Amino acid sequence: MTKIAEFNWNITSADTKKHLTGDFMVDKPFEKLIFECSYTPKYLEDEQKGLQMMREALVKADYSLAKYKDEDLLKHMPLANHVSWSVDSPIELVGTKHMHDPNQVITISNGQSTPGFKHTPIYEGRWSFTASLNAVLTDTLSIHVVVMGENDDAMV
Amino acid sequence: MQWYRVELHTHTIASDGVMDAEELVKRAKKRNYNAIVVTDHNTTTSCKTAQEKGKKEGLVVVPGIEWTTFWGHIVISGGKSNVDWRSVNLENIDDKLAQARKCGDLVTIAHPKRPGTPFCSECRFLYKLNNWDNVDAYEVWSHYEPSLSEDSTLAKKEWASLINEGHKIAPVYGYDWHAPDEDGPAYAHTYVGMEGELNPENILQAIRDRHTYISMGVNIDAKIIQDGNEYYFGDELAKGNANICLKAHVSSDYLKKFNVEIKGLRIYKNGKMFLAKKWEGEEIDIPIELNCKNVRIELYGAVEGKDCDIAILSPIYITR
Repeated sequence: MTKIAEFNWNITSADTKKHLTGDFMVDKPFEKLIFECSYTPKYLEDEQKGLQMMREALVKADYSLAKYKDEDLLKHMPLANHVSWSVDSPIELVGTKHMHDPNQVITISNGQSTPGFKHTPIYEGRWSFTASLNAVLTDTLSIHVVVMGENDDAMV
Repeated sequence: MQWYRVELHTHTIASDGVMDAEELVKRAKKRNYNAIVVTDHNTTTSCKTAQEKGKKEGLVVVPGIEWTTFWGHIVISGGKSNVDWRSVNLENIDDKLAQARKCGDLVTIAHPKRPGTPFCSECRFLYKLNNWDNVDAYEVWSHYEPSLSEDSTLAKKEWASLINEGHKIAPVYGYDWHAPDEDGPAYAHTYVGMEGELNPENILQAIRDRHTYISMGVNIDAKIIQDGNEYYFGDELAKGNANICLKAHVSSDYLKKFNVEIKGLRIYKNGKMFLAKKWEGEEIDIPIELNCKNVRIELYGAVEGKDCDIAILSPIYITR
């Protein structure tokens, strides 16, 4: 397995609704690309802040706040950050992973890509990886991505 | 007109669903769906497998995607357009929806009135559309016990306002099916009406033609007779007198599973209640003067002992 690229993004809640993109070059033949993606923290642990966020969201959405007691709202805790991952080959958007687990391993190859991603040859050229910040509820968030290339014979 | 049960909003393991394409198809058959649309978040990679499995199981599968953008979710059904969901934003939303429709896809606003972040990331529809003509359908009901939930109540209110403003948008239900939920709370269906064969293109065209109703397992056969001609809810009619002929009964699976009961119906003209009538049998015939811009019908009743709306029909539009 060959490490091709590594991305570290340290962001704040002000960055929510942004796409962060990192480019990398594939300059030799690989059978597959493997992306180890993670972010931390997953959850907002501050109960009072969470309650405040939920109340504000309900008011903005024209819900009857009076119907929602704190004990009902607390069932939604802990509130979660959410980041989704996309990969672009030199040719096209290969896919997006919209899942809630903060630790994901994405594999892309011509025959066995992770669900959510097309099967595609690993073209040589400029690829990119995008972290889409769907929801950043905590003050800060750290994202770590390692991109690796692998050939099947290396697994023998 | 033949009516079919269709689920227009489903997910698989290609996004955050827990069922693979094969399991989704099998469970859809078990629920007596005639067709489903596979609408994973920002990916279409389960569609082909689901279509193949659907052929084997006798279930029509329509490819689709749920654009899960930062300002709301939009179900794009048909699998013909290729818009990069990341490019959709507050400034270009009208153009992107038009682009999808131009390719032959169907545009549905998904669960527009959920509270959104922090409960469910960006589930609330925050876009301000300049052109609602780019929208074919609107999830008036969504998810569990739809007619009792606050988000569906708000969604119905907005959809009714859009209809009164003159927009022609089909009412649909979106289960937003992520997990088997075999013993979960009550859910609804979208019923889609067509004359021809049940296939993806006819399903999309039927929704474009607004031949839909949403219901808690109530089968409805409704027509409007005007000057000897037969029309369906969703159609455009002329001013004048007409007769509404409506037959309805609770399907056996809903009767058994959710104890659904029809209690009555309400007819609205331009959003204002025109007539409320108790349900006295399986068939009614109501004369009506079409002296307004639209007429809507809702059925009310009970689901698992709770009083609620149990069906909403596509409006008729008086345009001539």
